[in-house]
Amino acid sequence: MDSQKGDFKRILIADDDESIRSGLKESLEAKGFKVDLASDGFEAGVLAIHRQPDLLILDIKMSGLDGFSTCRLIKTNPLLKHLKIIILTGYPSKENFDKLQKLGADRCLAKPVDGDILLKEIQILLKSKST
Amino acid sequence: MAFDNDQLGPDQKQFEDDYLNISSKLEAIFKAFPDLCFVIESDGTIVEYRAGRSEDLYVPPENFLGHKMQDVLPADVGLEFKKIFQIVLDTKQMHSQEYSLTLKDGTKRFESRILPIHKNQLVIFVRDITEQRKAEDALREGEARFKRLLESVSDYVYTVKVENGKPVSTTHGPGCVSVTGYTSQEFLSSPMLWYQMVHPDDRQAVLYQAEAAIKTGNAEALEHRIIHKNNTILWVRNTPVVRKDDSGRVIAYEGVITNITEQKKAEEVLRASEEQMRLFVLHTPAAVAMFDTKMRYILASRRWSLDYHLGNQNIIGRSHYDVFPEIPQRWKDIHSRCLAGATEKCNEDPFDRADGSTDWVRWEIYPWYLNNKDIGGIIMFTELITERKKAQELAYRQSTAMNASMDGVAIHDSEERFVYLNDAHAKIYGYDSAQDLLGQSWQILYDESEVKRIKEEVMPVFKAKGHWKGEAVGKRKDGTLYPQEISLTAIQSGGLICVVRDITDRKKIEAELERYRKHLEDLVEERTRELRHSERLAATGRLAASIAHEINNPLQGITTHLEIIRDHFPKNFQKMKNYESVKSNIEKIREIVTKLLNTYRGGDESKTEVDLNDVIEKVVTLVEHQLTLKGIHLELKLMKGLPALAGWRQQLHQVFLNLILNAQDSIKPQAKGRILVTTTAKNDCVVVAIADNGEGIHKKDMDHLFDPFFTTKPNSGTGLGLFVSQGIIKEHNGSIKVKSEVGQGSVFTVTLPLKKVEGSHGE
Repeated sequence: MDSQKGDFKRILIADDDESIRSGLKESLEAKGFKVDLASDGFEAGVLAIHRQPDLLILDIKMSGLDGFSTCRLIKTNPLLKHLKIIILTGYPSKENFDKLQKLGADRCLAKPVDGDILLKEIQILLKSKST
Repeated sequence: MAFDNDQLGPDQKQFEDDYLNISSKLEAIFKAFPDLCFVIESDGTIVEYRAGRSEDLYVPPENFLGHKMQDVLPADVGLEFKKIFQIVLDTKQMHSQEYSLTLKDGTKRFESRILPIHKNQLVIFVRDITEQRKAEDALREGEARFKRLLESVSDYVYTVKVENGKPVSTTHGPGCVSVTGYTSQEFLSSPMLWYQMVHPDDRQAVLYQAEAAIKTGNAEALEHRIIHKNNTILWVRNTPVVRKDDSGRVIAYEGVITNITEQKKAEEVLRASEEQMRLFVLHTPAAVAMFDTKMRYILASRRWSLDYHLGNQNIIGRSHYDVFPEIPQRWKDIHSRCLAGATEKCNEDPFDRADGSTDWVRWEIYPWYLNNKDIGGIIMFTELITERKKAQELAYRQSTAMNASMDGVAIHDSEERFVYLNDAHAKIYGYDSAQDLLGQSWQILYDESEVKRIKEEVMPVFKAKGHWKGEAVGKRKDGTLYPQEISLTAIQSGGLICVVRDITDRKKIEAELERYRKHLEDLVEERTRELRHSERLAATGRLAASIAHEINNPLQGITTHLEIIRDHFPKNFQKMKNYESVKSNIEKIREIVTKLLNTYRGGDESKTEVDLNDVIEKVVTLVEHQLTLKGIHLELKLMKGLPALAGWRQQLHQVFLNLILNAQDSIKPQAKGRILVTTTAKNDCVVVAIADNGEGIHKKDMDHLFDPFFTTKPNSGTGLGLFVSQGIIKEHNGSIKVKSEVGQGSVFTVTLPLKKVEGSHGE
């Protein structure tokens, strides 16, 4: 409902790997982002509505609701479709990437991604964010 | 009138006396005598003559006066005369002599009488008796004829006198004896003889006839039997003619009895033979029909009706052309010719029947004669030879088929010699024609050992069973041997039928098939191995992909956390080098995983024109240093102008790097290692061979060489080098093949097609 005020951009991370979640959270908070964490697609959906993040870093292979479904649900929801999505996957096939882009994913990156590259991609997407 | 010696005698004597006594008287008589007369000397010299009434002399008087009689007349007649003159002179008796002379109006007969006169002179009277003799001959002839006539007469006339409507007497003419054996006198003395003479069975009819003649004055001729006096039965025709008086009353009737026995016999014979013929025709096994001049049936045999499917219909009197409307004009013409007297026949003639079928007919047609003179019609003899013709045609077809047969067909007699063979049989054995083998023994068609085998192994079985079928080795005329299939069948005469087929081609095909089958088996085995391999490849590929994912995730964690740590390093941190090492190892892991994934789904690189020589040279620059350190000599034989192919440069780079590094690893330290890399272009392909003189590959390892995680280098290898390389080459539609000998070295041959493969990989 009420979104986070201030200059801080809010990023939601959805990944079933705890190590990745905690690592990225610490790293991105260090860069000045507000970070929320979800361990699967369903959780990501709930947090996306409650916290109204500016960007979602989404893994594909998760138990429960996977990355494909999550991407599709967000991008087809009028309240959430403005949410930028970066796919970050350990299974970076062209086939998967093409499919996700069709579902509305804004960027696809392969794991392991260098922190600097990820930051750069985030900044580009958030700059182009339109209200 | 004929002379009569008794009548003539006294006249002549008188004359002689007169002549002897009174010359003047003689002279007168002499002049009046009608006969030709000569006076001759005893030697026959004619001294005097008198022509008498003779108008025609054999020779003129000037030619015979003073000449000898025997010289004037023809030799034979003259000689006779000479003899007679002597007899007359010796006996002083008159002699007569008949002779013929040919005069200008024909041969005439003469009678001469020779008398002796005084002074040894003779007088000859000559009379022409030609006409007299002719009459005598005629009479003799007439008498003989009459006698014959009497003997041969078979008719006689009888007369029945009728008074008051009743016969009162009968007289039988002179011929009756020759017919009945009874004389007229016998009939006269026995009034009822005429009736008794009639055959008892016919008496009634004879009485009726007599009654009719008497009462009505009209009587039909009647044929009836009589009993001859010698008890033989004769047939007579009795034709009465009634005689009436002026008032019209029957006063007599006369009849002519004609012996018709012979005629009756002939009629009976004829009737019998006609009946016989009718029966014969009717029942003859041949199809026979008799027609009149208008081609109407007079007679037809049962066979005729049967052969031409006429059933029980009565065809007698019907026209042949109504019965068979399908008869062609050609046949009608033949009928016309035969009706005009021709005899025709044909051994095989097709008869197209109205129902569409064709009968084959053998026929003969003759005219028949009414009275040995006029043609009464024709007789047809026909024989339906359709079945025979069919059989012949079948036999002909069969024999043609046999001759045309590819198989050799032969018949051997009990002496095992050819009595029949078709051309194919001869040709199979390399002979020009069947004639070359007729009468020969089959043994010339096999070599010695085969003859022995056939005699010892085949013939006993054949003799026991009556047939045999199997293979043998035939010998052609030129001595070459060939495989054949034989079938032997015994025939009753003691010989056999032999069917031979040259199976050289079949054997060849069989061998070829066998070879092909083996090849196919090999191929299937190879393909199965490949398939098994690619299945394993696919499975392991999927496994690799999931492993990659499992590795990438922790790698992401490591990377992120490492970066967090790095961010907390103080300025000029001493162990920054260690951080960089970790970072680069992470990068290596990522690369390996990426390769693994690319093997399965291809990389993201796009296809370009690739010069393999260029790729290999780049690889060499990477490894050169290491090889030199190990003392391995690397030699390149790169084909100039090697065509470029469409491919993924980085991936091919990876392949050849792997292969050269493998070659390097197979060479033991201190060994004089050599690696030879050659490139060639062949059949639209580029071929790269990497040969080493290393340790080689064990047979047991060969099958697993391209399996993932298979390695013979437990300490240094990942087991992915060849697995990944093969994946890349397959993506290029090429192949990697290995030849290796333990202790000798290995050759890896990569073949890549030049043909451009459209589309990108990985989908």
